[in-house]
Amino acid sequence: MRPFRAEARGYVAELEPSERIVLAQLAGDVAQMLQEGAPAPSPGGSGAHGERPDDAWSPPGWTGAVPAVAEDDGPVTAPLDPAVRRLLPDASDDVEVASEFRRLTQEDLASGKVARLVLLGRMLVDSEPAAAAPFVVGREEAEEVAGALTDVRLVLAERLDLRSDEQVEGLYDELDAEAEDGPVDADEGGAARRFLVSVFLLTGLLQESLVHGMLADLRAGRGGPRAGRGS
Amino acid sequence: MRRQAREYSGGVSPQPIFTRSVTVRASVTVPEEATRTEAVVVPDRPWVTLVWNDPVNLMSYVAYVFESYFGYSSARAHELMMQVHHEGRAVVSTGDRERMEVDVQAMHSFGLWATMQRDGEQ
Repeated sequence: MRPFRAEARGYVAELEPSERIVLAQLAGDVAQMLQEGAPAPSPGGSGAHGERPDDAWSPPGWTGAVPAVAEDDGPVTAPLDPAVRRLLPDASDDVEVASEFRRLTQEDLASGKVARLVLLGRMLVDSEPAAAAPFVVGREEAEEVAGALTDVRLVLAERLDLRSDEQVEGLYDELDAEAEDGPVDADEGGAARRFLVSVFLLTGLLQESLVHGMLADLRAGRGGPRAGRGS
Repeated sequence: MRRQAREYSGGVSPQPIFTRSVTVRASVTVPEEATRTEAVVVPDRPWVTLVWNDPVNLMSYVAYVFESYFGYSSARAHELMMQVHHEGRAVVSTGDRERMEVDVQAMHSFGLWATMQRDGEQ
């Protein structure tokens, strides 16, 4: 991997084929987590397989409430997976405010994140180069790619249990120690953790170098369209 | 927030991921008083958007968000960013509830951790 640098055609990094595959797979996994962890409310309350009649069947002798049929404007629940919840966090300590915010925004937020993760995955594997090759991000799509990389890193950090700046800093010592002394533990969990740490560091360098170029262009008045506040 | 990314030694290969799931709430030290530096004349107490510190987002990305979305100068963005870093959070915008919903949604879209509340609430 060679980090991004600004060129006339956009921001250009260089990636190994294995790095492309890993990053594309990650982007796809996070997109899937979002789709499964923050499902869109289904019109008419049809379940996962659709076709629930309005007068829902109840078991014989059932005296409780008829199984709820979701309304279009019903409550949107918070994701259970803490990693998905980090991508779609509570907007307030106030339960009513947080709930109203989810009802208004969660579907749009989730679908926007999924779309840019899919875009990143597609950009990574579209050309399927057999060797290390340039990875070009146009200025007009850089903000989406930076956002997708952020979401991937947030999920990785959640899975790695990273809660403080010190813990993130410690990752480097963790890998440094293993580079000198060999793997600390050869078990499966250790290998999985090392993999996540490697990808976390890879995506960190890619994101930092990309944002470095975007920030320089922003301050110089160059670059593509941005999601500015507009007021 | 992290000052910058560091070296990456390379050598990732495809394999299954995300095999573990844990629930831990991040704890954040709440400063005694959130500092407001922009006077806005609004009847009733306005709402504020807060951005909270997290260990993942890089300072350069937070600066980019503050400058590109809010249109803050690089000096103002840096000041807010350092406040987030050192105090755990900062008020990044002020206005009515609907406006703050738009700002919080934008922050969540960028991947920053943001909340909204009435100004003056802890």
